[in-house]
Amino acid sequence: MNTQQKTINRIIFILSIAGLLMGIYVLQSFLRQTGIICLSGGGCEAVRKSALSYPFGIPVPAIGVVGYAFLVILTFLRTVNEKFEKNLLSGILGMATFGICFVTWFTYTEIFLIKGICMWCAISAVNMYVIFALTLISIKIGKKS
Amino acid sequence: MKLTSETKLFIGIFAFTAIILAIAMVIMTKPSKPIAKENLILPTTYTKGAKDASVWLVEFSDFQCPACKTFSGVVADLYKKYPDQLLISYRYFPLDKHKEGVSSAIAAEAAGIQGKFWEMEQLLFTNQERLSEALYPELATQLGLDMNTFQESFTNPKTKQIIINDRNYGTSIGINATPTFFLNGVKLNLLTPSDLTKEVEKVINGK
Repeated sequence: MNTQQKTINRIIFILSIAGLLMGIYVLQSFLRQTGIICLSGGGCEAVRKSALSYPFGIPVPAIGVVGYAFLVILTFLRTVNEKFEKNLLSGILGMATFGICFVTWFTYTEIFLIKGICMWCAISAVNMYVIFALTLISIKIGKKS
Repeated sequence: MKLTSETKLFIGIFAFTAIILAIAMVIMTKPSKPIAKENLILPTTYTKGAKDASVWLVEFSDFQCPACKTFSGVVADLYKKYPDQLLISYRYFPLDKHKEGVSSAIAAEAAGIQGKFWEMEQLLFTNQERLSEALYPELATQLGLDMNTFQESFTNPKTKQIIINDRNYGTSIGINATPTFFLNGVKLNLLTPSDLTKEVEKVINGK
């Protein structure tokens, strides 16, 4: 990893931790059935109470938690062993690609089916898009050097 | 294994986050204190059931909210089942996204002035899909209310202020969705309408 890639990896790591924390917060609310602090009105509650937020019985934030946890682990491992650098970066790209597909699907579900926007889901969606973009930039830098 | 400075930095960030998370979890899992009865049930709040019951249920609700309609049936069943053991009260929490939320609450309050709050509550939920300014006088007529008094109460700014005060109070105690229930001052976290019955019966049978 060169300096630019190291910086990008740090940013992805921090964004993934932020995503993980948001996911844990929303997940505990789903599991304990408690209210969510929400700046988008009653959107978070509408999303939490909708059956669409439990695909295959799994609460949506649980999928977010697992995805972000993978990203945290993969970005961390990149600092430990340079030998698997390319594989790890491919893993991050794979995870981020799944992430943006998932958040795009869920944002569509929120807007058109649930008809409510959860602030945390929206932030997480943007977060995942940024991670995806940074991963692509990191790959591009890697190819140049 | 020798750790690089980059790895140490990542471990540091992760450890710091874990500490913050642990502190947040301790704070968030602290049980909240029950709210005093006199704060949740005001002298002007509509109630039904046993006035001196040791079990009291307060609902913050919106007549245009579909979930509130579902729960209103459960509350009515509880009232029928435990008329001497349970005090039920209704407080307004019309959501901004519901166009008829405030107007329907004003209609209920206007009916309440003539002693027909609970009857109007039932009619409003039954006619939830038709809520409009044109419907309220129709419902008032059905209830046999004095129409002049009803119209006067409906347009009186003081009536609307009662609704706004309820909503402001609800917001101040952290309500952001409807229906929200408080059982003996403790906020209930309900997943399904049957959970409400279970929670109420748990307290009634435990007494």
